[in-house]
Amino acid sequence: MQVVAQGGGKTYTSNVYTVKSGFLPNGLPTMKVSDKNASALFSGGGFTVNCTGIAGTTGISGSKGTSYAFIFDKDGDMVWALDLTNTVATGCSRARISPDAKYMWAGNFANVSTSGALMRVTMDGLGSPKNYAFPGRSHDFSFLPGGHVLFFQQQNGGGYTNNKEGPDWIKDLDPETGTATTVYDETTDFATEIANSSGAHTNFAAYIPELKAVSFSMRHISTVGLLSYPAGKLLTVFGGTRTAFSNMTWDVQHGHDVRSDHLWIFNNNGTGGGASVLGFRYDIASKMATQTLNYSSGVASTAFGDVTELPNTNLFVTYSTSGVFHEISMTGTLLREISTTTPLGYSEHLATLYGPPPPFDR
Amino acid sequence: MKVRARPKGGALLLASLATFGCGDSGPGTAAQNSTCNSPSSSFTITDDTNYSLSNSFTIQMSTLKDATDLTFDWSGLTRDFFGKPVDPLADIDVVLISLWHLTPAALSTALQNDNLSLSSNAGAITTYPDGSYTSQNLLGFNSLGNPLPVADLWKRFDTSNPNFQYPQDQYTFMAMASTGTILGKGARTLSLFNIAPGSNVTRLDLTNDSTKLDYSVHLTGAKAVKVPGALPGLTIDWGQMTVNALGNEYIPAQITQAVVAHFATSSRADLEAQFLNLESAADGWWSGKVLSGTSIDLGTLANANGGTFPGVDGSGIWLAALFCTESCNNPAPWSITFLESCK
Repeated sequence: MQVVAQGGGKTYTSNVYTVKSGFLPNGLPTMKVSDKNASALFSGGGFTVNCTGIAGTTGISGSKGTSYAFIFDKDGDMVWALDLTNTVATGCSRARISPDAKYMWAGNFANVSTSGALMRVTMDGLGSPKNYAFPGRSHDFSFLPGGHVLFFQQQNGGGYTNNKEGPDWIKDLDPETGTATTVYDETTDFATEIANSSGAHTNFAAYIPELKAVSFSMRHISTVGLLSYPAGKLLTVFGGTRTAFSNMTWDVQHGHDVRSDHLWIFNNNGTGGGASVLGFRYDIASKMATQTLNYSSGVASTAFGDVTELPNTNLFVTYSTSGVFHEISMTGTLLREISTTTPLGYSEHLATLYGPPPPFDR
Repeated sequence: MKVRARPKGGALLLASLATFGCGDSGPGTAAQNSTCNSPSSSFTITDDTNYSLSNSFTIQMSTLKDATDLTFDWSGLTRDFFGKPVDPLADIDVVLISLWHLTPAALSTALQNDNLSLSSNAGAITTYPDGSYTSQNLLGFNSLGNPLPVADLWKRFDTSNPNFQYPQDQYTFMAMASTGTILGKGARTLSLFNIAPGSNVTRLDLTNDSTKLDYSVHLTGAKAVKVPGALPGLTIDWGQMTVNALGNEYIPAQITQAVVAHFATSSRADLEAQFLNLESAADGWWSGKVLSGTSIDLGTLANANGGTFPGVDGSGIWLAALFCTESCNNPAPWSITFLESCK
């Protein structure tokens, strides 16, 4: 490797250095790319971060398949991967690049389990990973300002209490100290709904920079909540019996992307035999909403699945359990399909590996 | 040679369908001998050194009553479709019922081509027998070990449910009883079914007859490769392979396991007849994981006692087999290459 920099009419050339990294393992998912309109793709196809492992992690004793975090490029070629099988993040359902792009983070599925854990490892894959054990943590995590990590954790410590999962806490982890503080207790506003269901089953959470807010998805009550951050005050409710918007109804969601005046929902029990991506414009003050999209491709994702609005307004959709990605226009025109043979976790889709990842890329 | 898998007992090659020969008991075709003329200990395999394999499944198809707490019973499963004995109480670790946006014929074809795309999947439910039961009712199934809301279940098993979206002329259910709990792996039998309100069948039995496997293997066209004798450090390179034994794309980065086997006295015809029991029939069996790349030093492979591959000699048959074990459902080797010692 050699760095060449130019400035002030001069060129500066570094010495040549040798860079040694880990290897790209065999057996990674193979991506089959099918373009409908390549010229309309975000960043020519960009990069996608995801991971495997949910198929081999059922919470059943003895069940253990291989698990990898990986990044593939616009051509569907793997450009980075790490074997997570023998780490705390095996059974991975979410991998993300840290905002400073120095680390890959991975979290296990750990559904209704005491085995919840997060792990971070330097992007060169060398050195020892740092592990964070949080019994009852599951599914997802994302980044907050300052490099902190947003996650959620069952209040009963993981598992079932009287056959119910109960509520979660929404938490803020300082990765340097390992200290997690509670941002929000779901019983503050949703105690009745959670008690009347089999639990909250929180499954996705994200930070929204433009709103200085956090959104979180509760599967069992088909509800997405919006909180101020760091105050942790409920700002509004999308979907479910507590919805602030009467026309926002759907049956089960995982991923979602809330923006200042609109949002996208990955609706697992959608129409057309599969999951649906729903779009709405909303106004908190007037409690009015207008549906803008119902994208029902027929591809299913009975669990997980997410949708992200890209900087050019395209949507990147992940049908996790079917191993399918769609990039579509915001009006629902399919631009690209990528398919693979393995169930996947949630996706992070970005233009470059050298800048801040979503949501800090907007 | 066409073969219907029949009970034979003994170990399977990676519990796999892996078939040899086509009625040809003679030696293979002319060997490639570039390695004999070169000081290099590496050799590269090509499509013309490979065997070919085709297989087909005949899978029982039933029509079961919808909106009913159906019974799924595997107590009668004592032989899997490879002919291997099954203890239905001890050997079945997961029973998976999945729904596919495919007709029964299309589903069977996808299975035999090892080309069943997950994108056609419309959901799955599971039960994980703990050794105490060999049947389970529909309402006893779960979602990856977690409780399954009954309302969600009826969306797929009650054709009158307002949210039922799976017309049974387009969708097919598949029941799979497996050893091991990694979904889609270790299948011992399969059965297909549709649901209909007019059916009075409320029970599906998974038996020895639920799935029949037929396969056809051709080895005679495979060129043997000449390699230096008694040289453990042989490197096999599969980077030029384009088609695997099933006729699908050979993706080099999907090779995750390598095996060298030696049969001291067997002919190819013998191996063909024993194809489902190759590992137990072998006089030597060295295996290892392929971590990365398109080649492996065969000298790193080891047998069950830790002994490493010693190199080939002039006796019997030597072969190198390469497997895709991660992304593939069909466990047959993607390639088998016969190795012959240089004179």
